[in-house]
Amino acid sequence: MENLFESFRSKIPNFNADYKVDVFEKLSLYGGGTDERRDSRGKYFETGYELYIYAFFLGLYRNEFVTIPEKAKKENFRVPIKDWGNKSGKILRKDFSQMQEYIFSALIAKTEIDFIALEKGEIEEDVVIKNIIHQFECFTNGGLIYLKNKYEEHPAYFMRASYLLDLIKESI
Amino acid sequence: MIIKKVTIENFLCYYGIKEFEFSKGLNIILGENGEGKTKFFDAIEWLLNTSYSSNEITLISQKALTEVTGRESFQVSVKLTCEHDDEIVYITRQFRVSKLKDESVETTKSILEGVKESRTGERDIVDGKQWLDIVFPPEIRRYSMFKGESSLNILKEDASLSNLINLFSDAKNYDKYASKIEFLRVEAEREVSENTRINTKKKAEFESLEKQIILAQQKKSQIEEQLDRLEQNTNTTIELVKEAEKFVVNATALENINKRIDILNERKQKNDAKIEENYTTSLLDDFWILMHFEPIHNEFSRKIQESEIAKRQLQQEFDISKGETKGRRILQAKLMNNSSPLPIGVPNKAVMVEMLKDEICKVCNREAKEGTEAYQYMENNLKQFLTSLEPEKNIEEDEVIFKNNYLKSLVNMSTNHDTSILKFRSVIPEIQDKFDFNKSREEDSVRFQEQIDKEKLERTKILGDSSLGEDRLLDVIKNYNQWQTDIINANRSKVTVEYQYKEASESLSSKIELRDKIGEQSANNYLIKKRDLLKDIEKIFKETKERKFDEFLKKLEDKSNEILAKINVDAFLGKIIFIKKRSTTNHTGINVELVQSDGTPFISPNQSLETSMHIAVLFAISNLAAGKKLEEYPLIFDAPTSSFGESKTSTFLNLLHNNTNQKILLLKDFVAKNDDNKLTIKKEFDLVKRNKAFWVRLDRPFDNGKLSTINTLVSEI
Amino acid sequence: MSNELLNSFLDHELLQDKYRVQKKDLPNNLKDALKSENSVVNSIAMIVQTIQSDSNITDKALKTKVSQHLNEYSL
Repeated sequence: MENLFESFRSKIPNFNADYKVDVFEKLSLYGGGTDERRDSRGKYFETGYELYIYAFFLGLYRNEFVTIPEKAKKENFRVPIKDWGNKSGKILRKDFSQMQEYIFSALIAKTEIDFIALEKGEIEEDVVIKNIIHQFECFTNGGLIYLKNKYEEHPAYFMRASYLLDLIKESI
Repeated sequence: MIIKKVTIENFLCYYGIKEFEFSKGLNIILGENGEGKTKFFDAIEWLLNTSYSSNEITLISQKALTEVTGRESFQVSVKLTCEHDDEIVYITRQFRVSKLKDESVETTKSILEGVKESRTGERDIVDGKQWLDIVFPPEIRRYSMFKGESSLNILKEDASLSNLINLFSDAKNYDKYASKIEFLRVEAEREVSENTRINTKKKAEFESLEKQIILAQQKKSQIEEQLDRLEQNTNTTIELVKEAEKFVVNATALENINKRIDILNERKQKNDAKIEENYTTSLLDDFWILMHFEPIHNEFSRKIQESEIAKRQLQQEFDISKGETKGRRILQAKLMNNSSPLPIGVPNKAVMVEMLKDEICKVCNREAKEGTEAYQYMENNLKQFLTSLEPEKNIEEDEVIFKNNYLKSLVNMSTNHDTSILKFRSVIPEIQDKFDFNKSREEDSVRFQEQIDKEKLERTKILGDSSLGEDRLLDVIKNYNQWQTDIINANRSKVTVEYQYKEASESLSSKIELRDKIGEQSANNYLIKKRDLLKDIEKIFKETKERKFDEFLKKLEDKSNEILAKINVDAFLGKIIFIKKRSTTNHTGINVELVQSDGTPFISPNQSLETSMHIAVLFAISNLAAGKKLEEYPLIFDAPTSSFGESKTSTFLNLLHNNTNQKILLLKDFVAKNDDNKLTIKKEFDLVKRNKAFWVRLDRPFDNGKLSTINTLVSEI
Repeated sequence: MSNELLNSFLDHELLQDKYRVQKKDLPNNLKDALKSENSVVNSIAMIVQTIQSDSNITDKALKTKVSQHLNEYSL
């Protein structure tokens, strides 16, 4: 049976490489964490893709849909979505496959897909998946921009244990 | 060795020749402060301390200098008459003083003279320095002369213990073996590795391991140093705390408060540990991020549902249109008169075949000869029936409308997610609960902190109620709490560093093991056997050394407790314990502590108990020396019991009297002024058991401002 | 002293645990120990004898002696 979710999961989404330093390295241990950041466990994300997911939801809830500029250098985690969270080796952390489903369902909700045409075989699966991944990247990009601006305004706020949670709470 | 006599001539306050004839056992010299006790001690120290070049001029009795007229000269000397191996040895340190015309003073350099008198009374001049070291070895002197109470704590310095061990225990002999065997083992390992290097194909791996081993060794010793430093710092701080606590009047109250603070700290820590603020982790792990997901899920669900419905409708329409085509075909085969045909297969195949064979339609009971219309009808019906039994072929391949079925799994997902709606809705209350929980823990934490602060304030008050001078006190109060925190923190980091040390050791030994394994595959068998044998011998030598050391400590501990039980003036029921400090480095430190009868440490023993402990340890040491068939040596104490008070002191002295070692004690107790303001020895002293007693006092009248009037008189009591 | 040292070394549990020397079979003096067939026992004895007879022996000289001994007798 044809399965869009499985195809989606095998993809590696990109992000704007500019935010690697501006956001990822500031709010996650991605890119080699310093001891200082490591000490702030709980306040920060341990991996880059956790922050990616977070930024996606932030963009989704705030409806911040921003296409990554054509010229921008793109970057990714070199790990397909299906392996996000599964291979952390940390016993305390949970498996992310359910989270992947929710992300996928949200993307389905937000992406224009002519299911009839798809079922009839009039459009290719690849095209649909590409579209879904594009949506994923755009919402995440929107979330990352929002985070970047917040960080630049008040970096100290991010020291608060509940700040990233608060941002989600306030996002609707 | 026994000191028979000390003769002091024109030395400081001792004008002319003053003699102290001592006996075995307990000798007591009484005297008020400033009347000559300490000068007696100084005189002996000057004699013994030959390496120290004194400023002779400062040692001359001013009275002697005044009394001497013209260009006369006189001698300043301290003479020790000792009995050693049944011989009498006289050791004198002396110099001559001459007064010049202009009243200025000139001295010769002091020299050490020795005379040995055999049993038969023959006297020989001997090398003074050499014989001093024979009768009273320098390393023994260290544990023989004690000035003041604080000097009694000889084990405070790490070096003292190794000295002691060199003197009294067998461990010294083992040291040499441990270091020699280590060299042999290292050499044997080197031989194996060199040999391996030539032979092995695994050269690269082997060499890389060798490098790793060096690094691991470095790392291990770094951690070791860190641990040592940590230990030292902690010990220093603990000493400071102890020192501070000594001045505290109400030690028990302080102890209780410290206990309460400990408990409160522990409760606070437990409480704080419950505060979980990893909200960010919960966002993903506990799906908190889905708090606003319900509308999005609904959107998804609606979209899928709508698409599914649309698809079904299309399918139906398609089916209908497909049905029409089919219907047309069926229509073409319709019966005449529009009558509806019998269902296919009625009558059944066997009946039909039979009817055709018999050429009779048994349904309507008429003849149907072959070739007739009726016969043909029956034959058609049979054909139709047989065709119906074959699987129905697709009428046309391209007549399927949906090639794919992506929606099915999406529908499943949507249905599954419907059950998660409750989960989405429960996130916000869950977060609230967590916040509330953490908030009340934080409030608890604040409450605990308030209690702790209150206790600390109380502790500061107790510290304030102390016998310390105001300046020192402020300093102590300021630092006391910090010291306590430092100790707790240091202990915490110690645990971590000790763990690191263990890890580093394990990593090192696993690397060594790996290297040796490779080595064994290629190195010469003899070299491996040799190395393994030497490794075992090293283990044996080193552990035996350790065992001997422990045995010595145990002996020292037992002996000390035996003596403490005798001289214990405060009826203390606990005991002295020797705690070996971690011995990662070569010198092993030990802590000597008092524990109560239930085994818990005695937090702040008073000075007199501590002094009793130190004296017990000292006697134990001198006792062990006797046990090693070494000479016994005298112990000379200046004011060892100043914290005791008179009655405790007399008890203490009576207990000391039971011990046969020669002891010379200088005390300020038992001297009083009578009604005429004259100094006198109290009656209580009559009750003190002793072998000899002297009283040193200044010849009266004297003028404190004029040193030339100062002359200490010595009288035997 | 030599015998005392030797005996304290031979008291080590490794001799029984690893080298299977029974306590009753252990020599109690240097002379017997040097004649022992057990390589650990005679090596220890040899080291004790060497160090006790020349307490200033250098590490290198001792190494030579031990190697010689092991070459000739034990291994």
